[in-house]
Amino acid sequence: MAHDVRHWPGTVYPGEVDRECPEAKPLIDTLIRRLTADGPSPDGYRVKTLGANMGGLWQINLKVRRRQVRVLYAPYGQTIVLFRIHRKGSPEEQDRAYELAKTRKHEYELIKRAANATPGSRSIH
Amino acid sequence: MQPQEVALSIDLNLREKLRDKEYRRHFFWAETSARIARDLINLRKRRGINQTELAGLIGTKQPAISRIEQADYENWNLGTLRAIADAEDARVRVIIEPAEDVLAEYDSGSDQAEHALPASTAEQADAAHPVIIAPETGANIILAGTIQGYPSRHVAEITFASGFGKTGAAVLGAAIIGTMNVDRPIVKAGLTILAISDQSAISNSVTGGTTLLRQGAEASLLMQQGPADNEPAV
Repeated sequence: MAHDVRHWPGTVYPGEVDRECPEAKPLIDTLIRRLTADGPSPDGYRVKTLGANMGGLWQINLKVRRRQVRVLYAPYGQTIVLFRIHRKGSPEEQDRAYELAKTRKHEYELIKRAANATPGSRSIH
Repeated sequence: MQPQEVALSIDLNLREKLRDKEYRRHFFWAETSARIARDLINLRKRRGINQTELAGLIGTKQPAISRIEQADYENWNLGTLRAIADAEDARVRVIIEPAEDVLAEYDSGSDQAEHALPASTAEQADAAHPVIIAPETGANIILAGTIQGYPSRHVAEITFASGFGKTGAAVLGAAIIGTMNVDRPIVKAGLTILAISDQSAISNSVTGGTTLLRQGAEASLLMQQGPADNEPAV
């Protein structure tokens, strides 16, 4: 069953890919197609679930011309949300990338929860 | 009822990108590698053997099988693929296609179908919100309205290209829900606006739908007050 691959915020794709790892774009595009077709754990990709202390993020590492590119995302039913795509750097850079992805995931979940609340509504002009 | 999705759609825009020869060279190899990896894994699972057993059958080591079953591995060769196919009683097919024939597939929109927003989501967005008639993708839309609970009139600028609103007096962020497509002028979508008032730290989450007639038109927002205990920190 096809999945709906999205990103949060709207700067992840193609913004972060163009800025940080443009050489990985064909592979990222292929990965997005595979995620769409096969779901969050497509065959052939190194998928890691990072656990609760990492905010429930999932991770795929891609090797592009001897450099590693990391995709941080999470599945929500049939929807897969990409939170961070970056070139793997120093341990400090990796920690920053994880923290940013966790923050984005938290923000996304808050906004989604608020959007799906069922309060009263009113029209304004 | 399906939950409303606030994350933004991804448009791979392959039809446009594949016009670039260098891009398509890498993309075709990436697709081929991913497909080979998937097919090899599926075949091995179907035969009920693990990587070590397969390695033994073709006289290599398990790490070599692991490598060739990676979607980003591009150094496979036909000899290895033939050896694996022979060991697992399978056929290798090699299809070489001129780029123009492959591009025609993308021009016909076959890649779009795979990535189209599921109909149920589009229908849900349509039912939950009025319709947005969008201007050109990337254009700024002006939304104006008074947010419930705040006395002053707030104006937000939302850029469709990024889907993230410019920080202003009233709006911290905004997300377009639904589909955006440069080829289709009419877009059905909803909006989620995370609002702040007068640059204060008080935040208020609201959702709304809107009807826009054209770029710059004043919008009419239907807003829902978020529950107080769900207010995100700003």
